[in-house]
This record gives sequence, structure tokens and C-alpha cells, in this order.
Amino acid sequence: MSDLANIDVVDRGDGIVVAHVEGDLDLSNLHSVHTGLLETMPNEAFGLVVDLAEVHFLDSAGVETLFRLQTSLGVRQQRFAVAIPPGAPIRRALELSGAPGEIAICGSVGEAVAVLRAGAERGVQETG
Amino acid sequence: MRGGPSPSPDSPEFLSGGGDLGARMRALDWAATPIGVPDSWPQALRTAVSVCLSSRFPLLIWWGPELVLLYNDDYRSVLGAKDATALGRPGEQVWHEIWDVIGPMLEGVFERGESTWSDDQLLVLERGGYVEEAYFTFSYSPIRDDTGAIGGVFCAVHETTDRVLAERRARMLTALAARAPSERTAEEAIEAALTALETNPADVPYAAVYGRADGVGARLLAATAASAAAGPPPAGIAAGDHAPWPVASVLETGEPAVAWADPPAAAARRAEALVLPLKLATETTASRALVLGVNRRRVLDDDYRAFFALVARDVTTAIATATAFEDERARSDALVELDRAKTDFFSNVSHEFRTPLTLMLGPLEELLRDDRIDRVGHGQVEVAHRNAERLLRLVNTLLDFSRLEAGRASATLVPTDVAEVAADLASTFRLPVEQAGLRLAVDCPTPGPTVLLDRELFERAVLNLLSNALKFTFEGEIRVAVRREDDVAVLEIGDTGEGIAEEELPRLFERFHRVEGARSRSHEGSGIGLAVVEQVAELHGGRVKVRSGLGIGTTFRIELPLAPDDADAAPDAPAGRERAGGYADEAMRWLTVSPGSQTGDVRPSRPRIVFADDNADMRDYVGRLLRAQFEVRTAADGVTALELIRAEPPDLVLADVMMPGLDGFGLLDAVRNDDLLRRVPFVMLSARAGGEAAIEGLHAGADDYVVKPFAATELLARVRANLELGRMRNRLADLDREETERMRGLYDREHEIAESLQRSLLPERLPSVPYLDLSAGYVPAEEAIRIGGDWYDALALIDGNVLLVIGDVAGHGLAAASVMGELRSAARAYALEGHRPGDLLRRMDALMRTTGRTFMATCLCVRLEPAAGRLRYASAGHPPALLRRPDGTVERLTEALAAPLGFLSGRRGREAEIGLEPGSVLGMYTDGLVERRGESIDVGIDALADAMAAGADLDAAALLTRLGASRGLEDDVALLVAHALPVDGGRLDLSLEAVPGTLAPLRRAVSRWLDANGVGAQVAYDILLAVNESATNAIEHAYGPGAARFDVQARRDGDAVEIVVRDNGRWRPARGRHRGRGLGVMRATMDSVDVRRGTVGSEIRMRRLVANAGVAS
Repeated sequence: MSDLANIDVVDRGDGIVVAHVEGDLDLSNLHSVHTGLLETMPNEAFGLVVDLAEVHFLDSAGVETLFRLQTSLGVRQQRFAVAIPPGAPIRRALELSGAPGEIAICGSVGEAVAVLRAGAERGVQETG
Repeated sequence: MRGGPSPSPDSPEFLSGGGDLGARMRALDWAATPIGVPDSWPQALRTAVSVCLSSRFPLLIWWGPELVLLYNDDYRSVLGAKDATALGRPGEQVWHEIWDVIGPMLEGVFERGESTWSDDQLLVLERGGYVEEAYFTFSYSPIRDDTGAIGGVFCAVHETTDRVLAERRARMLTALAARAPSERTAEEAIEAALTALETNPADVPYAAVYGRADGVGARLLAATAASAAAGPPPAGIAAGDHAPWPVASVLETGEPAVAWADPPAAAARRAEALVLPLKLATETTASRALVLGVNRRRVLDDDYRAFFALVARDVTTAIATATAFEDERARSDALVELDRAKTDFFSNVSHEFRTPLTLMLGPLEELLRDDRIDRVGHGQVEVAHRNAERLLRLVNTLLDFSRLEAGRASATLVPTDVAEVAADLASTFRLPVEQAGLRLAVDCPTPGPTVLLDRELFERAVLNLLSNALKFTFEGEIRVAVRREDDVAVLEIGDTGEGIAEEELPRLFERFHRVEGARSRSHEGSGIGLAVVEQVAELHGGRVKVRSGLGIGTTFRIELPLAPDDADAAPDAPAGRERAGGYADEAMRWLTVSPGSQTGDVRPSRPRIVFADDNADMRDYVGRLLRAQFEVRTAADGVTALELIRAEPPDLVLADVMMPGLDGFGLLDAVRNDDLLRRVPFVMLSARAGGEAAIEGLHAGADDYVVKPFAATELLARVRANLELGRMRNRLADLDREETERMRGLYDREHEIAESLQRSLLPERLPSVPYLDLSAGYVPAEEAIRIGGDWYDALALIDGNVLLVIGDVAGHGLAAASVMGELRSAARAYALEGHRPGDLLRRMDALMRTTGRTFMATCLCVRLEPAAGRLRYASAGHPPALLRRPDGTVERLTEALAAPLGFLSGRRGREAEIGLEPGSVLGMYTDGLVERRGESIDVGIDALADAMAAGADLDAAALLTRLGASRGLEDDVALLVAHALPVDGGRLDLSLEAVPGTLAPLRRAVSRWLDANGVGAQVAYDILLAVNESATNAIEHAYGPGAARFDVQARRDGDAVEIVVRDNGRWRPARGRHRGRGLGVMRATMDSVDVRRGTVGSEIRMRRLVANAGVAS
């Protein structure tokens, strides 16, 4: 899939898919991570949580990957959130890149799943 | 464009903005459309149009029962030429050509209210003036109007044509490449390639391969099952003929050419096919061309052409590989045939000689005993008998020798009294010895020691020594003595003759070695007598020794083990005396033939030979030998010889290499350049021993080469063979030459292929890796006739470590080079998969054995982990790597050694680990660097170790120079050197390739440097982010053809760290919605960021206070 990062995808069976990413996200795997995640996303699922707890390095290219993922999923009317433990060094890159406010950033996978669920219930009118 | 840039005064607010389409919507006469004026539109449509116009994503609204089109700027690229008339028109009118596909989908959305999602949907459009194959990913979602009913459909669309085509083409190229290597002939390779092309009829509707026809034009070699619309490919295309394809002109010009589907006047000219030359590396002009049909629904654009170029390249590679196989097979078949012919010839000749000679000897002996023959007749019969015996002896000696040589001698060992046999043989020589004025002293008291002997072989050895003694002794005596010394029987044959110079003694027993210039009674002899003596002694479990001094004489001493005590000596066999008689008779003849006498008649009908040699004795000797059968003219120098040859062309020229004036090569040159003489067989004669002189002579065009000293029989045999060759040559003149050239051509081509293969297997450039300095040297063998199997490789791994591999495939030529290629590819693939050295070698070994290769290959893998301060290694029978420590000591890495690849080894997969301190130097090499003839390999390894110990800064080139190996040696030499650079707190200076893969190693290097500078983790992470962003910029700017590089420098400046990143790319504005954040990140993490952009190259200089890490962030 990609050189620097391994991705382990878990379909929870409730419409939400969780992708655990391990490694580094930078320019070298921008495309492979993006297409890799999109490919594993079934049409029926309504949301994707990307778990970055095991990511040690994330730069602006990595952040771009997250933005692109959100856009691509949006076209498919699927929702998106990332999970990063509080205090993780890579939060700094996300903050500096202006991601908070545009991407749903949660402290854990559980929190992210809850946010996506709540959004799905509210979001029928929201999309269109 | 309809409508102006300024909004109509009465346009509603929801139509504001939206770029070009916004303007056109405001200007459109909506009353004329099925959905009426905007004021009448339901709220849902107004909202949708507003969303549509403000989006940067291609969006489209189908509205109302007629599905009227409303869209934004980004959707225009989907419409193409249709954009001019599409706005506000019913969908079926605009998209009539795809309505059968999308009509039902839209209907479904209206009827069931369900969204649709289509991935890479094929839609055949007519948006550019032609029918076009295009792919889209799009979704349809219902828009409910104010009553809750579905009023329209919202469509988000993204064109994926480029990606779909690229993937389809890549799949086909993979299939094409996968097929290539297994084909054994060019025809098979072409067939297989065409089969692969048939898997992608969309991009290659049809294909055909043409070859150069014998005359002019081209002929069809193969074609795919599908053919062009115009019909199947013609079997031949004449030169100058461009229909159906310009194949002949492509073969002529070597340039690709397009076959057009439309006449030149057509507005949008469509390509029918592209014709590409298939030029092999070994060809000066392409001899084949590939016709590739063009998909009529696609334009032959740059991507399409590039794809076709790759197809042509892969087909060419497949043909080249198959051709190389064909050539290799033809060559080895020819060699096997040659070898068989030689063996047949030898056994036939010996058999043919022995039988008639034996049959001659019987009647001749009868005649000698017949009283009725008068004295004159008796004398003639004696001459015939003597010479027939001599001939038989020579043939027997040669056969014995070859039998002994092959180790097939079936000796019959019988207990024998050596003293008795020796005394007996000596007595037969008494007459010639005394006739020569010498004394024969025999000291063989009987009964003497008993030895297990093969009587016949032993007698031959003793007679050889006796006749040698007589040949080289002119005064004094010849002694024969047998005695027992401890547990060996000793036979000594000594003389008071000329003696042998000390420097000649070591080579005395070598086959065909003759002591040059020694005075002797006869020049006859095969030069293998002493070799036979030595082999006979060894066959009996004994040995032969020689003592000699110039002017003192020579003594040969044969030591043989004693027979077991209970063995009784067998009675003397009479056959021995007869054999001995033959030798003694011949010796007698030496004493009566006066030197220089010319025997043999001159008869014009006999073959004529011109013999040139500046040595008068040689002229006499060879002249005498040849005159028995040929008419011989002699010349003392090349010029005279050439005059003789021109005056009356001979049937053969025999010439010495070294002559005053015109030498042998000059004479050869003159003969070969004369049309009347060029077919005359030319035999070179020279004292220059060794294969290279012979090769030089044969390359110069000599037909044969006889090295002095030579046996008379050998010379005569060669002369006769070459006379026969000349006769054959006159008969088959041109045919013969053609064949010779064909064979030579095959060899050259194989050599060329193997050489270029080897070159391509060595990395062009070593990777640049932080904290490591790699250098390598490869020196081909001086005698570059062979291609060595040495190779090495260096790979930067994604984890920042480096893998070094060096190997040697035993064997030479194309086959060895292809094994190298396989091993190298395997090593690369396994290394990139993350396998470690031990595992890597285990897999390479398995590969080698599953492919059934019979080659032996050694290999050494080292994984350098500079960040971790260690290295791991494993070896498959390869000489040990050397590691120089910073203190100057050099250590051999001898752990984890398994058998060479291809051999089972219980230690396969083992791996050793050793520390790699900064300042260390690692050296890896192939055996050519450390092996010298006659020296232990340890001497060579120690020499390399000494050279490495001499200085820590010596790279591969410097080490090779130090070892005197910078020029070619006997074998190929490869050397790979890695310096582990010290990490000081001072400066970091890196030059890196501008590719995304270098980011991770760069981060590791910077992080290590920051750590060495005591920068705290949090600040270090900030700096790392900034360096990473600036490097990402450099890499993105550098995108383009060629390998660009960028530099990263870091230094400590008091309490601050300063980092400079320089590239030589062109600055480009940020691409994509979310790019361009890099600079923001740098500014946020560093105290100062200074960006300078030039026309070529930009520089980012950043500073950050690090003294008080806790406060800084």
C-alpha cells in the first residue's frame, strides 16, 4: 500500500469503518494512503474514522491527505473524522495547518465514532 | 459567449457570482427554456443553483421533466464543445449520445428518490467533434421541490479518463514484460508479445510486426487476430508504399510514423496506426517494425504515443533476449560439434596409422630374412623397415601419453627385477654408445630389487632416458645403475654430456618443452619423452628427479616402491628386446646422417612449400624434414621469401616470426593482401611460447601456428593438414570464408551482449545517505575477452538504512551475466520487502536452486544502520568484508558464513551483527582484488587491510590505486567502500535527491543531529516539521525530467540553530486547495524564516532558539 505507513482497516459492521494508520505520513505516501483508504471504503458505509494514534510524523502533505480524503468522501456523501490522542506531537502539525474546525479531530476512536453517529442523525438536511 | 460580464439589473440574488456560468445564467433568456424565468423557480432549485455556482467542484443540475441543464464553470470541461449551447437546454438534446446510459439512471432517481453512485463509468461522448471514449465518476442525488416531490437531480462529477487509461495501459505493459524472458526464439518472442497486446484491444485494436524484406520493403512476420478496418495486414509492403502503413519508410528512416485515417485536408485528422521501429542494440538500423492500431475513439496524444513507445521498447527487449538465447545456443552447439570432431579425428588417425604400420612391418621383416633378396634390395628394405618402426614408435608414444594424460592407462603391474630389466635395456645401447666414442658403465648387480612394474611402460621410460643421454653426450660416459636404498628401488641413468641450465630444470618434465639451443645429435623428438618418464614413474607410485649442471652432465633418478616380499620376479619377456632394438637402431642412424645433407628428390608434381627462417640450422633441419615429401624452397628473410612466393605461388608458406627486414607478420600481411596469394595456407613458426602469441598469429590471419621446439611429426602433420586446407579452400573458397565470419560474428555479438548486460547491472550512481559516504570501483580484467561475473549494488532503504551487496558468479559470458542479473534483481526486491541479510541470502539461494542454475555464486550482504550505530551481515562463501575502526585497526568480518549460493548449507540464514562507530570504514570486494597466482588469498586480504589501515579517508578509487589494481588484473575486480561519517555537534551538510523517498532519511538525520546538539524533544519536533516542509517544497519544485538534488545544511549558532535548504528548481505556486500550508508551518515553528527565490533555485533560511528548550515552544 505505502512505503512508510501501514494501514489496518476494520469494518465495524455498523456503517462506520476504522482505519488504523501506523508510521509516517508525508509527501512520499500522500497518494497511496489516499487511494488506499478510498478503495477500502465500502459504498454502504456512511463514515470513516482514521486513527492516527500510531503515526509518529505528520507534515502538511499528510494533512493535505486528510483534507483530500474528506473531500472525496464528501462527494460520496460519506462522513469523516480523525482520532489523535491528546498530547500527541503530531497534533501540532494539524494545528499549524489549520485543520481544526475543518476536520473533525477527536481524542480517541470511540469519540470519533460517536461524533460521526450524531452527525449522521442530524445531517440528513445538512447534505444536499 | 452569450451574456456580458455585468449582471442583468433584474437578475435574482441567487444567480450572483459564479464566474462565467453565473454571468451566462444571468444573461440567458430563460423564458425561452422549458423551466421559465428564474423568478418562477421553486426555492429548492434556487438553493441548488446557488450551491452549484459557488462550488469549485464540477456540478450539474438536471431540472424539471425535460431535465434542463444548469451547471457551473468547472463542469465545462466535461461538456467540451457542447458548452456553447448546453445551458438551459433539455438533457436529452445535449447528451443524446449517452442518453441510453444516463437516461434510465436519471429516471430511477426521479421515480424512486434514490441516489446513485457510478465509478469510472464509460461514456462515449461527442464533445470534441469526434466520438470519444471517456470515463467519469459521478453521483446523482434527488432534489426535492417545495412540495416534497422530486423536481430535479443534483450531479457531482469527476472525469477519470486519464487514470482509467493509465491503469489499463500499465496492466498491459506488465503482461507484456511478464511474458518476455521465457521465449527462446525471436519468432516466439514476437508471438508472445502480440498475445499480450491482445489483452488490451481498447488501446491496441490490432498490431502487426514486419521485418526487412530481402530486397526492398517489408514482409509480415506476425499479426494479432484482430485486424484493421481496412482488412488483414498485407504479407508484403513495398518500399515507398504508404498504404496501409508506412512500414517500409520507418525501416528506412528508423523514425516512428503515423498512418492517418483521414486525408491531409481533414480538419481533425485522426490517426489510424502508429508504426515504430524495433531496433535491437546489436543492430545499426532496425530490421523490424511494429504497427500499432490506434483506438479510433481516442486522440493519439502525447500519453498515447509514450505508451506506444513503451510497448515498442518491451517488444524490442523481448526479441533481443530471445535472440541472445538463440545465438548462445548456436554457439555452444558449434563448440560441441568441434570438440566431437577433434576427438573423432584423433582416435581415427591413431587407429589408421597403427594398423597399416603393423601390417607393413610384418612383410618387411620377412623380406629381411629372405636370402633371395640381393644386397641393394636388402638395404632399401632396411630403410623402409627402420622408418616404419620409428613411425610406429612415435604414434605409440603419442597415444601412450594421451592415455596417461587421461588417467586411463591400464597398467599391468607384474613383480619384476629392475636390475635385470635395466641391464638388459642398457646392453642394447652398447653398440651405438661405443660407436659414438663413449663408454657405457652398467652397475646393475642381480638379483636386484623387485618392483611391481608395467614392463612395457617402464621400458619405454628407460629407453627414453638412454636415448636422451646419447643424444646430448659427445664425450665421456653413460652410466646405468640400479640399487636398493632403504625401501625404494633406485634406477639412475647419468651422462657426462652438455648438461641442463638450472633455470630449465623446473620445466624439464613439461609436455612439449624442449631445452632450447642445446647441442644434440638429433633434432628429432616429440618433446614429450620426459613427460612420459615422469608419468610412468608416478603411475608406479614413484617419482623422478634430475641433477644437472652445464658442462658436467645430467643424472636422472627414478625411485620406485619395492614390491611386497612374497612377490617373485617374472621371467624377462622377449618383447622388451625388440622394442629396445628399435630405439638403439634409431640412435645408430643419428651417428651416420651428416648434418645439412639434402635428401629427397625434387619433383614438380609434389606440393611446393616456401620456408623462411633466418637460422641456417633451422633451414637445414626443417628443409630436410620437408623435402622427403615436398618441393621446398628456403629463404633467409621475409623479403627474399616474398620474391620466391610471387615468382611462383607455392601451395604453402612456412615462416618464422622473428626475421630481419620483413618479419613473419609482415610477410603474412603481404601475402594476405595479394589477391593471387591470399588463399595460400600460411603457417607461423616461432619460439614464442604461450597462447597469446598463437592468438596474435591467428588474429593476424595465419592458418596455423607451430611453437618451437616442435616435434618433426607435429610439423609435418600441420603442414599436411594445411596443404589440405588450402586445397579445400580453393574449392570452397567463398563458402568457407562466410562460415568463418559467421562464427566470429556470433562470438562478438555474445561478448557485446554480455558486456552491456554487465555494465547495466552495476549501479550508475550510489545512493546518497546521511552519515554514510559510499564509493565503489569496478575494473574489468586486463584481458577483456571474458566477461567476469562480479557485481555489486547499494540500496537506500526507506528506513534510512543502506543495504550493500557484492557477489561473484563463477563462470563467464552471457550465461553468467544473466545469473548475475537475476541475483541482483532478487536482492533488490527482497531488500525492499525489508528482508535482512541472512534472510536475503537464504531467499536468493532458494531462487538459484529452484531455477536449476548450475552456477556457483558467492555473495556478501551488509545492512548498514548508521543511526543505530551497527551493521548486520551475512555471507555466502564470499571473502570477508573488512572493517576499519576509528583507531585504525582493521578486522575481518568472518561470522555468519554459509556455503556459496546454489549449495545446501546448514548455516544458511545466519546473520551477524557488529558495532559501526562513526569514523569506521567498511570494505567489500571480489576475489579478483585479493587473489594472485601462487599466493595465498590471505596475503591479498592482508594487503587490502594494510591499505585501509593507512588512512581513514581512502575511498574505493584511492584503495584500488594503492593496491595497484586501478588497471586491469587477471580477473575482474569490484570494490565497495562505506565510510560511516562522524556526527559532530558542528555542522550537518547533506545533498539529497529531490524525490519524496528521501524525506524519511532526512528526518532521521536531522533528528540525530538535533539530538547530538542537545535540543529538547519538543523543540526538536518543531524544527523537524519546518525542515520537512522546506524539503517538501524543494522536492515539489524540482519535479520534472532528470534527477534534481537539494541541499540541507544545519549549524549551531550560539543559542540558536540555523538551517538552510537550497534547491535549484523553479518556484511554483501552491497547487491544490490545501497545499501551500508549508510556509505557514515553517513560520509557526521557527523564530525566523527567510525565503529567497531566484529564477533558478530558491533558498529557505530558518533560525530557532534552542538554548532554553522548555520555554521556546
